Amino acid sequence: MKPNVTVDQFATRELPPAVARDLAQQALEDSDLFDLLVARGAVLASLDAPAVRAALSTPSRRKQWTVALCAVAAAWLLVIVVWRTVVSRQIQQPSLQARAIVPKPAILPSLDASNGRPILLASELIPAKAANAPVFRSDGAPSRMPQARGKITAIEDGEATINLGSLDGIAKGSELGPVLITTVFRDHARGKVKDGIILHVNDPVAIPLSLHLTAVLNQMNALAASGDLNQARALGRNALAAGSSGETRALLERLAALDYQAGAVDAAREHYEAAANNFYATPAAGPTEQAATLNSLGALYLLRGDPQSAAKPLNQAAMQTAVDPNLRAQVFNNLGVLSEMNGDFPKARDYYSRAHAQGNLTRLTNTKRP
Amino acid sequence: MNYPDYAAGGRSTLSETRDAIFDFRRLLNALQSRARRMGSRDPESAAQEALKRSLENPLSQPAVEYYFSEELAPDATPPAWPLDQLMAWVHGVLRYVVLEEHNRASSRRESPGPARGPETETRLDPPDPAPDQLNALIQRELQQIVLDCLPALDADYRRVLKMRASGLKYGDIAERLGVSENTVATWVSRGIRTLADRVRRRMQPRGALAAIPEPQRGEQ
Repeated sequence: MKPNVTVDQFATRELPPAVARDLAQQALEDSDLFDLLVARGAVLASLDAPAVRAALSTPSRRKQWTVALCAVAAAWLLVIVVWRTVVSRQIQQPSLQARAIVPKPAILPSLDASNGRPILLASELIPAKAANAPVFRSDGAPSRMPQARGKITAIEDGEATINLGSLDGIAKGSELGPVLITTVFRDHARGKVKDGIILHVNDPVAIPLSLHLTAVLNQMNALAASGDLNQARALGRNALAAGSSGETRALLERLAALDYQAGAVDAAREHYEAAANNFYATPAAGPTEQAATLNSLGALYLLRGDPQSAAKPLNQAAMQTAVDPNLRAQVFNNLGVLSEMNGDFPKARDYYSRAHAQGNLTRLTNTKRP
Repeated sequence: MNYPDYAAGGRSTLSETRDAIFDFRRLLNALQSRARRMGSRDPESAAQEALKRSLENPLSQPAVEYYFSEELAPDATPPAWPLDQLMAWVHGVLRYVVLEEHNRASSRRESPGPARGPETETRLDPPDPAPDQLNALIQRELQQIVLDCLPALDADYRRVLKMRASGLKYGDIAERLGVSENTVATWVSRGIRTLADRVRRRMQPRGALAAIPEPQRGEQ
């Protein structure tokens, strides 16, 4: 068979496999033929794509040129008429500002790898596995909310019993004022009263704020792991008033993730934005926390189809260099998706490569670990 | 040929790599030459990496073996992938590998090293940033190139290509357009040839690296 006929049959998908193999073998010795087959292969592989089929239905370039020329002529005519009107009347027109129309990107990403769309990586937004949730000493989620304040219920032989326990963030060795905790139960605890201190039943006991907020966070995670996202979110919202913006930032970030998992995407974005606005409130957020939050915020913008708003948080996240390579890989991946949505494929490829490089780095680190 | 179970996450051993190098010696030479034209600093490794990735993909592996192995078993069954799909794939993978090679160098210099801390210590291996994502990107890039070249096609060619892409046979297209089947075949063939010529110019290997944004290429 003549090569040209064979190539034409290749291009119309009429080539028997055995002949196709001969053609492939010829292409290995003939780089022009290799190029030709690649180009035709690219065309054939793309013809089935909906975007290409849609483009095949649009008018040809010749027709477009005619339309474009007519449009240019009409535009010039319009400009001349407007200019003459303006000059002759000497009227100062208010400047007409072209309204920027941001077209909805054709590519919408997803956090789900199964639907064939560009995949965003944001581990904070993925529901935690039940195995990672805090373990409490009874079945199911905790029965009551963490308390910030309690009282002494009994005193015997220099040992005080208080009505706060592990649910409230108390651990063995915690110091609650003059009481050093020695035994912790789910909803109560016992501890030694320091020498020289006299306490009475019903005396109030306060839990340090950091312990209380940790208890709230643990309970939110436990509720979320048990599937009760709404109660977990309600608990988080109620606790936001307990401390300053810096102290409750971790709650905001967790709340945002749970908002997203519950389908409240706007609330999630607002909470992430609030957390990002308080990065420098005491105690200031570290680079890992900043990068994770900004990455999740950027991912939420991308999910909404808004690459313009996503650019700032994602680029800021990428600037946090001293963070876990896994997180950096996620940020670079998402910057790749952003570039892809903007139609900048070379940049997208560059970011995806960087994501791969970061991933490899972590793998090496983990391999070397004893 | 017995390759490891790549679909299950297997990796080739040294001897298996040697087998692959022997079995696909001519393909490797062709890929090496293309990698060199694409600006690879290590075309041999780039060709081997592209081949390895093509053999790792459970869909492309049978096609690579069928079309490009040095010797084909008499009872070999034709692969699911036609040759055109494989050619586009192999080109996309090689192009990606060469670009990765360039980017890796700058990433290494840029990377500050792994963070050491309790948080890092307890983390598992990271999720691979979605190899399917890269495959899909390669497909989308090819589509974009084809889309960019489409406006240059004459209306007749576009019409028959659209019908052909919709799955119509030559006879059906001929009936709809009121022309002979031979005319339809000619239009389809010429349409693809015209389009492929333009796509080929767009995909010239030197263009692949020229597409890397300048500041990132020089980034240290």
